[in-house]
Amino acid sequence: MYIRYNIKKHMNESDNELSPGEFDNVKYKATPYQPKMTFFYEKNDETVFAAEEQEAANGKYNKKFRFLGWSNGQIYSQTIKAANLKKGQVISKDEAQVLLNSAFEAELKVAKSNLAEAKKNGTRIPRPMRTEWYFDGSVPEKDREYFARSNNYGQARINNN
Amino acid sequence: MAVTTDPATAADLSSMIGEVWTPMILEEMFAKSVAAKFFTDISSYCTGGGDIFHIPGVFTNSFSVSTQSTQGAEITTQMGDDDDSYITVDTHNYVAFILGDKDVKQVLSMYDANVIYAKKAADTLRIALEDALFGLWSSVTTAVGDTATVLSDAEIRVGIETVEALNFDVDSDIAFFFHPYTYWIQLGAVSKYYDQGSRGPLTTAGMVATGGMGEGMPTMGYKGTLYGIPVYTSSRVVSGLQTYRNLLAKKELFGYAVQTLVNPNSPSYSTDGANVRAQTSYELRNLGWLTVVDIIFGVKILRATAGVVLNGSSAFIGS
Repeated sequence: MYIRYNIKKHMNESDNELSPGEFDNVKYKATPYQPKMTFFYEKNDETVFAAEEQEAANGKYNKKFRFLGWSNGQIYSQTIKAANLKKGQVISKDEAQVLLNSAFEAELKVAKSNLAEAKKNGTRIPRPMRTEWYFDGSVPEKDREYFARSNNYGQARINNN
Repeated sequence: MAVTTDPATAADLSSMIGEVWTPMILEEMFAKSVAAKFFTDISSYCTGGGDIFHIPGVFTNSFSVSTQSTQGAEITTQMGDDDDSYITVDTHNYVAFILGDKDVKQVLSMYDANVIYAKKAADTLRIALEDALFGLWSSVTTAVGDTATVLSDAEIRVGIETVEALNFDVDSDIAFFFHPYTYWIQLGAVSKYYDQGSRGPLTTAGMVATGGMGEGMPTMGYKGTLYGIPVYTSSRVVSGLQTYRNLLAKKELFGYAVQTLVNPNSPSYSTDGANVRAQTSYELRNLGWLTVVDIIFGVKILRATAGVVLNGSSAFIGS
């Protein structure tokens, strides 16, 4: 998805009419982002939010909220990169919000699709797991094996090996 | 041949040049316990046993004012609904390690390896409690912004207004919890917070000079005050999809209880805001020293309206 911005359009804009601390324009920060396994949930008030695996596992989100799906977090950053913004480039706050919203929606779409496919094909639906579980003997072996195969325990802080 | 043409090199003297191990240790750094120090701690009520600890609430509805329009008429009574908030102590985390006899004997005597690693393990568990508390953000009723929000002063003030509009006192027992990225990169770029004309008394050093907002206490993770509200930073503030879930929270927003047992034979670590127990014993069958550090705790959102989530995307900053 490519979203193009007219840089010149914003160059002469001034935010003098806003009170101090508020702004019309924002600057692209090009922060390095390592896509992470992300789970999506819907709260009772229909708010949809994303949580990384460790947070979702710690908070037992699968029990607390309606599970919408999961994804690897790549589409979110790809959508932002596809806008071809340069580091420090100034765009309007509204345009930034449109871009970030579209990135979120794209990732959510993938997550929902993953869940629908898994249900349709009867394949495994991942549940969020804490990194420590790989080393925890009380966690069922099949879950630990899955965790090992997912190659997602590189950040484990507790390593008894 | 001149006598100075063949000076000694390091290679010539290598058998006499020693390597020295300094007594210094480069320790792993951990986030400060800002959440556990701030939120409601009911641990003192858990010492006598029990697994679920109740805190009744009577905030779920309000009395309405009745008017005695006819003198002498029978009055109408009413009653408030109760809310049963409770904390279940159901998490028992531990870190264990064992050091074999040979290694213990051969580690240089100036290094107390057991203590060094026990401290590291205790900090790991202390942070587990911080993570559990910050992870409760998802149950907070109100959020300002979402993953598309670039945090500005406007969102900060909307957050304060939201809490005060619900009649919570914003003068005490309330604090901001920002991720360091939000604090330094986003809020630090808001001119209002460092510009002398708007940030506060000219006689007080500003953010550029001190790194804080007013007089802070960096060793405690306390950065000063913003609109009169204490500001804390922690790397444990939750992030997801490049969005930080910063908080403006009253003390009663979250609650926790630590129920770690005490072993009279070994000292327990009383770390910041969390009691972590450390035990070491010699294990003959392993020919080594086993150390187990553990913590038993529970966390719960007590009053979901007593704070707001201040979402802030890290993809953009204020221009």
